[in-house]
Amino acid sequence: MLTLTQPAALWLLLALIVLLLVRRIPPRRQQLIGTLHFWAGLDSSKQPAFSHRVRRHQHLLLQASFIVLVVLALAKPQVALSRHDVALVIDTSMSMGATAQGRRRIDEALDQARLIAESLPTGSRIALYLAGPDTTGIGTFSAADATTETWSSDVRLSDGSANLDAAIERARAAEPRPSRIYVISDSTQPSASSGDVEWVHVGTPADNAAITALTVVRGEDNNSISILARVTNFGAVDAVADVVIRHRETLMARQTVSLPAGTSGSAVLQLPAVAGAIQAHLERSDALEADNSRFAVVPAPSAPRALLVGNSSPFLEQALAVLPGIDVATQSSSVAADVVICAGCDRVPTEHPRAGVLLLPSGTPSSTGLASVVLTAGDHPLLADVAAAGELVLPLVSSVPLDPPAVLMRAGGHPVLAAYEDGARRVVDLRFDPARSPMAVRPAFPLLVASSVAWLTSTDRVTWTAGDPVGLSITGITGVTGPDGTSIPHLTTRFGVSVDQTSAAGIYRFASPDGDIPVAVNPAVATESDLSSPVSGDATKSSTAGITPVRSLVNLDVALLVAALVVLAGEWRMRSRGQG
Amino acid sequence: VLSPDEARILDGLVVASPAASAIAGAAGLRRARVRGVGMEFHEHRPYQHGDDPRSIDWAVEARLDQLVVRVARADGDLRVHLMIDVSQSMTVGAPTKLASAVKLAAALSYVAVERRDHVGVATFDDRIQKFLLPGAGRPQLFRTLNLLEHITAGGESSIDRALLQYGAAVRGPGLAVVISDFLEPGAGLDGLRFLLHRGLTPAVLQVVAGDELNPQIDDSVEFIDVEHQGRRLVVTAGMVAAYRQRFAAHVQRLRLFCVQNSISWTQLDASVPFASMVSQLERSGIFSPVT
Repeated sequence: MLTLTQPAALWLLLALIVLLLVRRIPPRRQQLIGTLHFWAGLDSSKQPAFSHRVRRHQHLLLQASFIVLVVLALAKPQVALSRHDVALVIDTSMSMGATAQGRRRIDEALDQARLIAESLPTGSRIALYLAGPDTTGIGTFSAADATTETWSSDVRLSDGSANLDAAIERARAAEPRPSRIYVISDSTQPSASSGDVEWVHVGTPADNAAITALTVVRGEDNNSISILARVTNFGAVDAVADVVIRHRETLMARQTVSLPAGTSGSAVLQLPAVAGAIQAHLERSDALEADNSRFAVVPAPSAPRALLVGNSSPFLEQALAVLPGIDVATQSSSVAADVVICAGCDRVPTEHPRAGVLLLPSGTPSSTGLASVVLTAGDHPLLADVAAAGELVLPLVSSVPLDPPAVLMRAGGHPVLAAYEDGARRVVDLRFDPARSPMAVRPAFPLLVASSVAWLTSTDRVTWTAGDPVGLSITGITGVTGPDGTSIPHLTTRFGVSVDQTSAAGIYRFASPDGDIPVAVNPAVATESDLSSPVSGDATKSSTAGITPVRSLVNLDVALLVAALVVLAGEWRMRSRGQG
Repeated sequence: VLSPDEARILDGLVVASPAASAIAGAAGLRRARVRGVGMEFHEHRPYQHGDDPRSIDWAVEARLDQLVVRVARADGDLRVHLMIDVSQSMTVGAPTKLASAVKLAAALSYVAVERRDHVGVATFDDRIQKFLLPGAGRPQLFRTLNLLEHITAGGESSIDRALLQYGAAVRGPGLAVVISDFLEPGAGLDGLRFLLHRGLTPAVLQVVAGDELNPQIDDSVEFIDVEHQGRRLVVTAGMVAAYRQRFAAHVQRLRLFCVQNSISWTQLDASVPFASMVSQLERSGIFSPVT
């Protein structure tokens, strides 16, 4: 397809009229001849051959061709040899929000995307992908219709890292397969990237500081909290900034931190205990604003309290003794407990109705003797850190049946571990004899007990990084709310709940019958906050000079000028011969 | 008429002609068709009364006991009659056909005189205009060249009429070189026949212009008959093919006549250089190298 870059030059074709006026058709030539004898009587109506007619006006044709070729060359025509399908992968990680000279890196990326689109032949198709923690396919556009104004409304920056490899693979897997994949990013191109990937760098090195860590520890008296905010200056200039602690938009404290270039500083504050989440904010104007805030959830008032009841079990007591952060009480019904551990109990104790229960029922040893453990529900969070498969245990056969879906481990065909919910409480049922099971002296046993206590007390992890899926082993979640108050899709399983859309940093609230559970999702400062590394390429370029174009748009102006010169030389040579 | 360079091209050439055109009895360099006094042996024949006894071949008599005489081939020279068409039709072309004809006539005169042949010149259009009797020697060459130098174009052409007139005044043997374009309906065949009848051996040099061989007509051209100024004809490029057929048929008719009567025929493009014309005359047998 032929396109004219300077179509206004076609007005110069009016010069053809001038040429025709100057070289109007000459009058009929007269010629003396020896005799008309051979011409007389011939049919004069016979038309001359086309070649004769062309030869008659050859000078005029050559001159007109010269003018047409020159005018076309001035119009700068471009011909597209064929259409191309390309993919644009735009990095939408947190660092693309960094500002330099009043412009964000993402804006530069959109400019580069526009330049690439303009360099493509008309008719080409552009598939646009936004690469954040997840890849979002915006759609497919024609090169002529592609406008960054349209795209910019679809661009949402993440507070996490970009998984560019996944985005490239997704673009590559599209049908039709793109002939080239342009990746517009502020990160450096992997050395092992394949040939169909063209890396377009944006962004310049910039000074930035970020809160890289925020921890909240409750005091021993449970009435105070200790906050540690770690601030890192990634730039080359010393800085001093205030760290502000807020709880529910209320200013709690402020502390000034000195930040020499390339180093980290900490703000340590002792504050009265609060419930829920707190926010630490670095009050400093730097290149990237998103990493100046970090969130943390204030831990529960105290460590889980375990109450050991029933028969004595040295192996169980030994396992509980090595668990950190858990208070173990024995044989006292007056003590409050978060989890009740009962050895020799066939039924769930009725005391402490809200506490979780770890049962070790009495039962009779299995006739099969020692048997290897087989996992029947390995994806259960209770077994996440326990390598119990293959361990030898002596199963105990109990008269209390178990619901098959609740069974997590079997040995010799008998259930040896089950986890289920009984009303508002969780129950873990261990049906093997620790005293006669080799597993009891293996590391798997205390880990299994620790994991059971954690699951029973629901002490899930409450701090995550933006982009990572959040998973909690809490059932009964009715909804999840994001940092901006909007509802976030969540997936509920029989073991808990998970949320994938965590690209924005902030406090996510999981609604449960017992109240909201706050979860802090923080910016991915480890990979995104250091803006000091130089990037190759000129981030301020305003043309596609640094971009390898798809070799399908050919400029014809030089070829047309050469052709015009050839025509001019031919006309001059013919004129010289004619005069000779 | 001839430059020194052009004359140098002609050195070493001789006007080649059939023996019939040579005249016996003259002290020329050519063999005559008739027997007579000469140096070259021709045949033996029985002695007859009245034969010169000096011609008896005594060696034969001694061997065969018969009186035979040696008969020698008579030596002779060549009379070259140059007949140049000076009609208006010869004035077209670049250079004109007349100029080329004059050059050819001068070349033939030069070569003939240099080889002790006789040469004479006549110009004609529809009749004989100028006439120079054949003669030999350098003075004849000067007279010939002088006539050629002052040739002017005449009127309408009538080759037959002119050749009839010339044949009535001159008889053979001799070589009658007719230099014309032969572009008239009869192609001058009657005149050529009359020359043959008069014992002359004609040689046809047909001089044509490049535009007559290959007309260049872009769209249409108004042709003006140079011999009849009032006659004009607009021809178009589409007529060229038919013209070529007619012209070729006319030339073929003339050529066939020449072949049938053992007449040399040569077609010359007036626009080709002089050296090329001489080469063409060599190839056609008008000129031959001196042996």
